[in-house]
Amino acid sequence: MKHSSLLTLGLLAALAVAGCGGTAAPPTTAPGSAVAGGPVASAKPAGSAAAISASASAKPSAETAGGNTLRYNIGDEPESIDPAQDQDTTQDFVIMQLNATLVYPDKDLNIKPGLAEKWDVSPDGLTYTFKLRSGLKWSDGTPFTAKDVEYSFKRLFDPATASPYTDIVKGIKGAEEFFTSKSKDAAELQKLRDGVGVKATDDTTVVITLKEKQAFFLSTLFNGATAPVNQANLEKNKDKSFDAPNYVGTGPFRLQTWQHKSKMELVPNPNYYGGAPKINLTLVMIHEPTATLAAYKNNEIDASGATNLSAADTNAIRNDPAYKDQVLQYTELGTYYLQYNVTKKPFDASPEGKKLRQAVGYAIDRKTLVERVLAGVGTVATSLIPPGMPGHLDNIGPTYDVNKAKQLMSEAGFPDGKGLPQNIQASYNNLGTWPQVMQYVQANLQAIGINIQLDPRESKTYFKEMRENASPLFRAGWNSDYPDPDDWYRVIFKSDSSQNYGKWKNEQFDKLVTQAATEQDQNKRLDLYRQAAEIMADDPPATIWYHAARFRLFKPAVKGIVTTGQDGGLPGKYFLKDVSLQR
Amino acid sequence: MGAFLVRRALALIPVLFFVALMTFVLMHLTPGGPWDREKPLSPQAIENLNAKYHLDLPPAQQFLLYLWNALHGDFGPSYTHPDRTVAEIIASGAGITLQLGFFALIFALVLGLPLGVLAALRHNTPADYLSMFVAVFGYSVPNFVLATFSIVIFAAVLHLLPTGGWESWRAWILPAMALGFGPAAAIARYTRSSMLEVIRQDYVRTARAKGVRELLVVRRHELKNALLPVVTILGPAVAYLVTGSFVVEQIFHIPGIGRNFVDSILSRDYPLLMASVLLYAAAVAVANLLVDLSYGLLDPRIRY
Amino acid sequence: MAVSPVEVTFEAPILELPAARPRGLWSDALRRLRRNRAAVAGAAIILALIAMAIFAGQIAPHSYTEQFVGGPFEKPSSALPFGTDNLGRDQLSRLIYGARISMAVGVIVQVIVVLVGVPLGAIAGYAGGWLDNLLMRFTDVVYAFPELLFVILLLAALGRREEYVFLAIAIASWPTMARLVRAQFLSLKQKEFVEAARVAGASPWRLITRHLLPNSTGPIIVAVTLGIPAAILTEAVLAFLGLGAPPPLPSWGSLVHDALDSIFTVPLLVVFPGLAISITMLSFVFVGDGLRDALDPRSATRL
Repeated sequence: MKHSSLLTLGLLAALAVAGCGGTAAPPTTAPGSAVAGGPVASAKPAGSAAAISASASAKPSAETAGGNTLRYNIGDEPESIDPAQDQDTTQDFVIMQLNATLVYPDKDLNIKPGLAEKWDVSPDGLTYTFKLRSGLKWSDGTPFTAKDVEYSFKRLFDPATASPYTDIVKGIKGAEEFFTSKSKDAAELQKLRDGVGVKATDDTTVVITLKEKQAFFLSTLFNGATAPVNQANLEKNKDKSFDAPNYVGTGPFRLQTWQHKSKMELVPNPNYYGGAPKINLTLVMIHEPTATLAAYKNNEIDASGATNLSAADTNAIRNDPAYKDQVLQYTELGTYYLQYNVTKKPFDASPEGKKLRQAVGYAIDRKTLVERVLAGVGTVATSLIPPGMPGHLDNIGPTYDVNKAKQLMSEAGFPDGKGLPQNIQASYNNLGTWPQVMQYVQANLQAIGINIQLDPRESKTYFKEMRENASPLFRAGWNSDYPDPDDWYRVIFKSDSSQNYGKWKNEQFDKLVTQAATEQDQNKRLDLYRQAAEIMADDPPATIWYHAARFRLFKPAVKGIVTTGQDGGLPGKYFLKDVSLQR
Repeated sequence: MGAFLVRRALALIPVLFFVALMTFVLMHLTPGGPWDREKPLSPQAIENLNAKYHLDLPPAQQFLLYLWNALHGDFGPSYTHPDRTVAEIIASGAGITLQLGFFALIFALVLGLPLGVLAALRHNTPADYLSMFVAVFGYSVPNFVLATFSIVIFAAVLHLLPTGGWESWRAWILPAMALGFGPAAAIARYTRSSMLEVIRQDYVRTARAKGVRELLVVRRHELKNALLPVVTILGPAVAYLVTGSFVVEQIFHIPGIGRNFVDSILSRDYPLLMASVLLYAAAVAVANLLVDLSYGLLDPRIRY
Repeated sequence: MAVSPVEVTFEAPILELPAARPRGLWSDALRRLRRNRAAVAGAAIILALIAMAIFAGQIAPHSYTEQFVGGPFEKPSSALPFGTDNLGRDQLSRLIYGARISMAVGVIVQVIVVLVGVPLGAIAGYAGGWLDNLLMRFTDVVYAFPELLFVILLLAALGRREEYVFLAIAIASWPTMARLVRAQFLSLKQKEFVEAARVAGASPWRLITRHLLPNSTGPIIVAVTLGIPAAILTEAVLAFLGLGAPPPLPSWGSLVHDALDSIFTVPLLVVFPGLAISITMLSFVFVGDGLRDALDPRSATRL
C-alpha cells in the first residue's frame, strides 16, 4: 500500500511540478498572467486620449457584449507586423491599421491622398513629387517628416533587412541594385543606399524617381510594405520595435497589447491625420471555421473576419432568419484557374496540345462549380481579370459546352479521350476548398474522356514543386497586388516571368503586355489587354474557373464596414477607422 | 539507484544529439523550404533571407553552428515570427501546453483507472461491457471530432463554456476532456486487462480465501501489480498528449506550443522545429525514465 | 501480466510450479472463445466489414466518385440513407468503399508492428544488459522523433501512395510494442517457473518461445487490438494534413475530415464515418479480449 500510493503521489507530483513550472509568460505589456481571467492591466502611455479608451481594458468575454470594442477575428497570428516584412494578407491587415501610406485607396481602389496630400508627375513619367500634409505626427507624438519616408524606403531595399516583397516597388531607380548587392563593404553599401531614387528635398517633400515609366506606379504605393517606420524606435528597441508596447506608426490605431497567438488590442491613435477612430479594436486569432462560428454565435466576437465557412454552413446561414441579415458577401480581386505545364504531354505547346487545352475550357461547368460546390461564394469567370478592376472583360473565354469540348478532342486526335495517357497528374495543395474543386473538375474532365489523377500535396512541398517542376496540370490562382491589369497579365504569364510556372510562351502576348506596361493612354492600354486576353483564350496557359468572393458575418451593431477588392479576405481593412458600434 | 539515475541522465545526451541530427537531416531532405510560398519571393529576396539566416552555409557547418549556439542558450530566431526568438516563443507557450497536458492526464486517470478496475472486478457482466464501451467509444472518436462536437454543444448551443482561449478555468475543461479521452480509454483497457491477470493469480485467491477484506485485497495486491502495464503506456501517453495538443490547441485556439510544433514542420521554420523536437524528445525521455523508475518501485523483483 | 508480490508482512510467498503445458492450447482456446458472446459478435462484425470491403463494388448503390446524385448536403432520405456530401456523392456508398482503406490501414500496420516490435522487445527483455540498453536507447531516439515529420518526409520523398502511409505509421508505432514486450519479459524473467526451466537446462530459444512469449500474449493482443484503431485514427490525422489516401478514394478518416467543417449544419456526415470507426474498434476490442481470456493458460480454472 505504501508503495503504490507513494508511487501514485510521486508520479502526480512530478507531473504537477512539470505542469505548474511554467505558467504562461505574461503578455508583452500586462503584469498579470494570461491564466488569470482578469482584465489586462496596462499602463497607458502618456498622451493617449483617455475618453475613448475607457472601455479598452474591459476583457471581451461571453458575458459582456464587447462595449465599444470591435472584436474581429484575423484567423492566425501575423508573422511580423514590421512593414518591411509584409507579405501576406493577415500581416497587411494589421499593418494597415497601425500605419499609413503615402497614398490611400477609396472604396473603388482609386488613388486618394494619404500621408501625401498632393503629387505631381513629370512629363516623362519618371519623377513623382509628393507633398506631405503639414503637422504630421507619429503615434508617440514626435513629428513626422519626409526624411522618415526616405529612411523607410531605403530600409526596405536594404539587403540586410532581407525584405521578402520588394517586387512591387522595385521600379524605383537604384532599388534593385541596392537590394541585390552582395557587398560587405560599408562604404559601397552606403553609396548604393544613396543611389536609391527616394529623396526628401525638404521636411514635407518627397521625390521618387523611377527607372522606367510605370503607368500603375501610384497604385503600388498603398501596399503596407511601403509604410514608413520610425527610425528612433528602431534604433532604440531593435528587434522589439514591432511588438507592443514599442510599436510606433502613423496609422489610425495604436498597438496597446499583444498576447501572442491569442489576441491583439488596438486603441485609437489621437495623432492620426484623419482623426482618431471612434472604436477600439481587438483582434483575435481563431483558425478553425467551426470554432469561429461558435464564437460568433456565442457573442465572443463581432466579426467572423478571416474565416471561410464551410459550404454547408454558408447555405444554412443564408436561410437562417437569425443570421441571414448579418451576412456580408462581396467580391475580391482574385481569380483561380487550372494551369498547364506546356512542356509536358499531353497539354503541351503542340497544335494538338493547344486543342486539348481549349477543350478543357469548354468542359468545365463553372456555374455548378460556383453555385453548388462553393455554395455561391464566387463568380463565374472565363477570363483573367476579375470584376471591379479596369480591364475586366465579360465575354472572352469559353463557356460550358460539352459537345464543343468533345469536338475539339476529336480534332486534336483523341476522340472521346482515346489515345490519351491515363492518370494524368493534377496537383494542388490540400487546403480549404481545393480538394472539392479539384474533385469536381476531375468529374468534369472524366465526362469528356480525360482521366486525371489527383495528387494533393502539403503546401510548402507543393509550392516548391510548382516552381521547379510543375505537374502537367496544377491548380493556381492570383490575388491582386495592385489593381492594375499589368499585375496580372505581365506578372503571371509573360514568358520570362518568374511566376510563369507553366513555361507558357507566346510572343505576341509578350509584345502586347510589354507595350501596355508603359503606355500612358488608358484606352489604348485596355485595348492592348483585350488583345492579350483573346490570345489567352485561343492558346490557353490556364483554364480559368472563377473569381474570388467572400462570405462573412458581422453583428448588427457594427456599422460602416466598407469593402474593397483588395481586402485579402479580411473585409473592411482600409476603412475600419470609420466604423462605429451601436450596441 | 543513484548510479542508475546518473547513467540514464548521461544516456539522454546522445539521444538528444541524435534526435537533433536526425531532425536536421530530415528537414533538409524534405522538399520545400521556408521561403516557398504561393506568391513566390524574388530570387534576390530569397538570397538575402538565406544570407541573413545562414542558410547559405554548407549543411554540416549549419548544424554545428546550431549546436554551438544552442549550448549557449541561443536557439535562434524563428523564420515565421522574425520579431521573436525561438526561446521566447517556446517559453511563452510551453507552460500552457504542459498545463493542458497535465489536466488531460488527470482527466484520463480519473476516468480511466476506476473504469478499468470496475470492469475487471465485474468481469463479463454488463458493467464490464458498458465501461469498456464507454472507454472505447471515447478512444475511437478522433480528438478533433470530439473537440469540435463539444464546442458546438457546450459553447454554441448551450452557452455553458467558452469556445476556447485559455483565459479562465472554464476554458480548460473542454480541451482537457478532448485531449484526455483517448488516454483515458487506453488506461481503462490496460488496467482492466492487467487486473484480470492479477486477480487470477493464486496468491490473490489465497488472500481472499484467508478472508482478507475485499478492499484490502484490491488495493494491496491487485492494483499495485496491475499498474505495471498501465505505467508502461504513460510514456507514450505523454508523447501523445504533446502531439495531440496540436490539434486541440488549434481548435480551441489555445496559445501553447503544440501548434508551433506541427506548424513549424509545415512552414519549414527550422530553428523553431529543432527546438520543439528537442523539447519533445527530452519530455518523452523524462517520461520514460519515470516509467522505468516506477517499475522498480512497483515490482522489487525487477532489478537494474 | 502479474508479478508475484513480496508481501512479507503477510504470508510466505507461494511457490509456483511451472505451468503445465495445456494439451491442445489452441482447441482449448477456441472452445473458450466461442463461449464469449461479445467476442463472437465482434468477430462477426469484423468478418462482415471485411466482406463489405471486398464486395464494395457489388453492394454499394453508387460509385464513390459519382457526383450530384442528389443536391449537395442532402439530408438522409429513403433513396440516400446517409445523405450526400458537398459534391452530392452518396455517403452510404462512400462509407462502404471506405472500409477498404480503413481496414487495410489497421491490419497491415499492426502486422508490421508485431513482426518488428515483438522480436526486438523480446531480445531486449531477455538479454538485458548492454543489448537491452542499446535497443532501448535506439527506441528512445525513434520514439522521441516526431512521427509527423518522418511521415511527411517519407511521403514527400516516395510519393503519395497508400502503401507508404501504412509503412510510415507502422514505423512510428513499433516502439510501443517493443517496450511492452520488454517489460513483460523483464518481469517474467524473475518468476520462479522461468528460473526452474532454466535450471532444468532449457535453451534460451526454448525459454523464449515456450515460456516467456506465451505468457506475454495477453498484453500483446491487447496492444494489437488497440493498435488497429489507433492506426485508423492516425490515418485520419494524416488526412487532416492532406497526407491520407489521395481523393477521391474515401477512407473513413478522410470522410470525417471532409465533413468536420460542416459539423454545425450536417453533423450526421461526421457521425456516420465516426460510428464506423467506433464499431470497428469495439469489435476488435471484444475479439481481443476474448482471445486473451481464451489463451491465458492460467484461466484453465475458470472452466
